[in-house]
Amino acid sequence: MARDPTTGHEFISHPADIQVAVWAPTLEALFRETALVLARLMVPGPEIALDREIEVVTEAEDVKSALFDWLTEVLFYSDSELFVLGDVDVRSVESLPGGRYRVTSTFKGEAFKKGHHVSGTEVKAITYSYMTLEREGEGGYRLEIIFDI
Amino acid sequence: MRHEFNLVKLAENIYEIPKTKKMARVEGQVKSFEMLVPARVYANEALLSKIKTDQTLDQLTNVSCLPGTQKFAIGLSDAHQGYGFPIGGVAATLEKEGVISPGGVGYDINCGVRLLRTSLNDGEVRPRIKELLNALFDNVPSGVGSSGTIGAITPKDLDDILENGVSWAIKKGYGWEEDAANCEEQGCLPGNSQKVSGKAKSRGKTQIGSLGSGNHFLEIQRVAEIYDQTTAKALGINEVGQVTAMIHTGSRGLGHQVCTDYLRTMEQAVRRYNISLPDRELAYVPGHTPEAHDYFEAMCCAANFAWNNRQMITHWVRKSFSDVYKRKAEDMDLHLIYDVCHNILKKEEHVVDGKKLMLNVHRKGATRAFPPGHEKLPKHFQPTGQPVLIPGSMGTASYLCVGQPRAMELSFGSTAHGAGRALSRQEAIRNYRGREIANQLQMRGIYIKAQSDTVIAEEAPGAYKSIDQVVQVSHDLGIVKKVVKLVPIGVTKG
Repeated sequence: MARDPTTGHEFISHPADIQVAVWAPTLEALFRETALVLARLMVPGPEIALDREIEVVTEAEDVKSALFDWLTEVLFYSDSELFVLGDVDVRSVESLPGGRYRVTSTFKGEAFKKGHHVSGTEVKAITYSYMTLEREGEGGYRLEIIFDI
Repeated sequence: MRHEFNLVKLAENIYEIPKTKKMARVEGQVKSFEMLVPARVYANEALLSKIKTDQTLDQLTNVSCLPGTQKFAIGLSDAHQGYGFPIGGVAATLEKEGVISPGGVGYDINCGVRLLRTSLNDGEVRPRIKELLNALFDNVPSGVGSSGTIGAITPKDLDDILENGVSWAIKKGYGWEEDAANCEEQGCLPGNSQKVSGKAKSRGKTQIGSLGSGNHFLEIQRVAEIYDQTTAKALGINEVGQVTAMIHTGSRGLGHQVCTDYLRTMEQAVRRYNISLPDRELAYVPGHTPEAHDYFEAMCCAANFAWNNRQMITHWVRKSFSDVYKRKAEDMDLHLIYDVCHNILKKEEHVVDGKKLMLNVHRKGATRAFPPGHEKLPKHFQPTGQPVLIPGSMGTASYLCVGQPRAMELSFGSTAHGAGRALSRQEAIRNYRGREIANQLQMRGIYIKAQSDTVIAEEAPGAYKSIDQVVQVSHDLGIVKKVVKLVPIGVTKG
């Protein structure tokens, strides 16, 4: 999947953890970009084969929590199945009645191979700390998020 | 929101922000919160000026707004910005009416430090340090996706670990009988494994006996200085040049998931109980609620997991020494001096305004430091006080101290937990080259074996506050007494 030029991210200086700003025209692209930033922090390279797919659907009480829960799944599969995320197909980030949100996605990647994959920064958790997710007019969305490492 | 804080110097190394109203932006609205107690910082001027550069004071004053908080919200000499609560802090609340907050413990539940002594001296260890580090690197997996060498454990064993603490590993042959008595709480808190989610168990099942990454390390050290001969001797440290081994790690993915799960549970409860928070990561519930009770039991399980993790690593450290020196670990006096937790919630009795009260003591990046004679200490530590381990950053000194009486008065029996970052990881990567740092350290007689050069740059000694000053503040305040200074010979990192 090619990256939209209006989608991107930059790291923000943080005293101890990793803070990143992410922008994208849609919530789906925003979620995907954030997951890929997270995955590359943990395993910077080399290129990840996409030979395993995992269906991941999460639902939560608001959009930030939906993102928090969904990104936590990346950490869950990394620890419990040594799964390295290479790409992700975010099919929808839907708004449901009562302010709830549902994320429907497919994680794509492969098993971590020692000596082949680079061991980067282990992310312990996604945090709500100073988390902002705002709509920027017609330009799309901007997120700031901190990963605890 | 950026605030100007009215920081008053009460005495040498003691600063206080008096109680006041504070404003915080919550989901786009500015709300007013009342500080129920003052916020205190224990630091010297140099450390304080570093502490002021990030959100530590803002977070600390948020903590002082939490219901049931006693005496003061405390920032220790190594404090830096965290998430919700600052790292390097203590918050004690009334057991029932006061709050319990997963954010006051942190994601790495029972992250802690363990120190082993040996009868070897640096003259015997330096020539074989590379061999020893290689053995440690192979025996104790580290880095992203690291699993322990024993592979996945059975669900029954995992439940045993979560409820019975360090005795599991010892029973399985990964330790000596006496090890448990040299852990804080004898390596076991009252956990209930049913309160730990399947997800958390799944994240932890292969990770027992692994180091993880980031600031976690395994270090071979030499005694550089002895400040108190009598106490040092009582703890088995006899001379300068004696070699020790230090382990710094926590509860791995299992603990991280327990914190994540209960942060979410409490968030829902916050809505139900109609609680207004200055920061979402401060999500809390009153201590008497079922959510608080469940979190406490799950947190105890994660703490028990961490003790087993450090115990398994201890076994592999002993084995690595044994393999390299072709001697039994017992013959090299590889005794456990002590094991401390520095991310933990404890139910403890403390005296507040002359009254004994049961409190929820949240220590996030803070180490318990009970003085000599404290009733919670086992008999063999009654005369010395509790051993306190304060690790430095990579390549710098670490300290073995003991708790002192003023800790009970000033900090709910607590002290700092490490150097605390002074530079962000990005700045560190910009300022340092991993290879150069490794070479510079090698010229000073310190070998580093790490998964990547980037982690060496991130953890460069210059990226941290001065451990010497952090410990000196606690020593000068009478919270701890310095006993031994340890400097590294070899380090392995994730």
